[in-house]
Amino acid sequence: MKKSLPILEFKQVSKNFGSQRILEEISFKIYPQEFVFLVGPSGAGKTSIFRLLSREILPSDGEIFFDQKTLSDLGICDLRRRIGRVFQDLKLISDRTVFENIQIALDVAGGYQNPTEEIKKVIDWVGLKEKKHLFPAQLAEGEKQRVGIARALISAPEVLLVDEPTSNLDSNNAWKIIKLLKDINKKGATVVIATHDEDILNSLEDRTIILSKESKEKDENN
Amino acid sequence: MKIIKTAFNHIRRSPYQSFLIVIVLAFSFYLISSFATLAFISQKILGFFEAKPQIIAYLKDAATMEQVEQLKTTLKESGQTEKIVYVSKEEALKIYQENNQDNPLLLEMVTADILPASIEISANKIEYLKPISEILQQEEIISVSEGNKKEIDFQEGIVESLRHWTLMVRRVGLGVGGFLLMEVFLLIVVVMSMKITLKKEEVEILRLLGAKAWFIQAPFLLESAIYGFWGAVVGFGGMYLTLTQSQPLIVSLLGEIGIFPISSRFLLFLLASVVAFSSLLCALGSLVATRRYLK
Repeated sequence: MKKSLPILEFKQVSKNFGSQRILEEISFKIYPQEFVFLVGPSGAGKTSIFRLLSREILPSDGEIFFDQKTLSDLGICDLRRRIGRVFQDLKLISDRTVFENIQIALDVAGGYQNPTEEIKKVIDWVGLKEKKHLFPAQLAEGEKQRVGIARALISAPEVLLVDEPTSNLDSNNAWKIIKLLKDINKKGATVVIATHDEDILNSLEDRTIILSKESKEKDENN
Repeated sequence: MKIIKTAFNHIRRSPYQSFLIVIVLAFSFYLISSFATLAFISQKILGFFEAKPQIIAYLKDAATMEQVEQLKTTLKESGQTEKIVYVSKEEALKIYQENNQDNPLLLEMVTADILPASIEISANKIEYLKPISEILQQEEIISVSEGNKKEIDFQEGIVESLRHWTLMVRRVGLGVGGFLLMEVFLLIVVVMSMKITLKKEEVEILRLLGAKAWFIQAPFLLESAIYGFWGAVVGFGGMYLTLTQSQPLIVSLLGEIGIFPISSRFLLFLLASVVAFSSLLCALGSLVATRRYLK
């Protein structure tokens, strides 16, 4: 699976929030087309790693690389278009339909010949064809998760960061989402999933980066 | 295209707020257009009086044409006159008859003999009226009244006072206009700040998805420009309606001073100016509001 050059790299990255140290000297590399779990208990810093990757927050120490360039060398807008994110709280716009919520990401990315067709394709692919005109409040949790994934996917990002995708789902729906993310990975995207779902982790043999409460990482299957 | 659609969605989703903004803008631009039109009308009134002969000197019956020509030459050589017209007794009678067509009794009583010939002078500048009148005072051919005063009429007072009022209208218009424009600008800044704050969630998502500041700002700017456009159009429309409705009253007040029809070129220029200025001002207000928020 390992390719010659990593697409994501954390080098001795630390992050403080005031006097509190959230991450301490984290280092890891993720290669193109990998399927990686980022594991750790609540408060271990999984979401902070995603926020650092999209430059929502800046590291206190160390360096982060995306596609061999430090994040500060990349334009923030360009970086966020190249890294798709599915947020833990999904961040769907409540007064927009499924179709419109996905369309917004395509509008931001711009430059598409036939945006409506692109959106329909992604909606079909995540299995929401019949629900494209519904609002987020009219959807089940698993369906909302799919909308979040579709929105992150629509602009064909190189890396997909998925934060706790199964936290509000029953086992059946959780597996459906994991299968969907596996399919996305098979199509060529690098997928990083932050989770603490033991069932899923025990059933899959993908690479796992473990963050402890002490904020030190441990790489398994790597 | 997407920006236009989003801007119209913003308006559609808060119709009462949008309506209120347009009403406030319309009222402001109604007053601004009214002051501009008032300044135009007062300028026209001033022009009417300025175009009239400003000095009329009545001549003695004994004055010969040579003496009149000599007076004309003296006045021309002073370099202070724009136009000098000699009005003979016969021409004076004609003017009298035209002015009193509806009073046959007066027409019967007056003949050319009792009307004096006169010389009518327009000055280059209002301040030349006095020196011209002094030249006339020295002339022998100017008729003398009972109090041994030369019969010279000049309307320095009227024109000066009109100039003063025209200037006042312009100054008050500029003051009120400036205040109203500031009020419009602040209104847009406050309303658009509120609107973007209400869309906090959406703006945050757009930024996380990688939207550039311009992509977020553009619909708000366009929305404000639309308010500005409609505010100016409705305000101008209101002023035009008031003007046409009050036309009979203005005509009766101003009498022979021909104000109507008001130049369509002026009206079109005024409409284009208020629409462009209002749209730009509102877009600028929105830019300030969104920039402050996105910072």
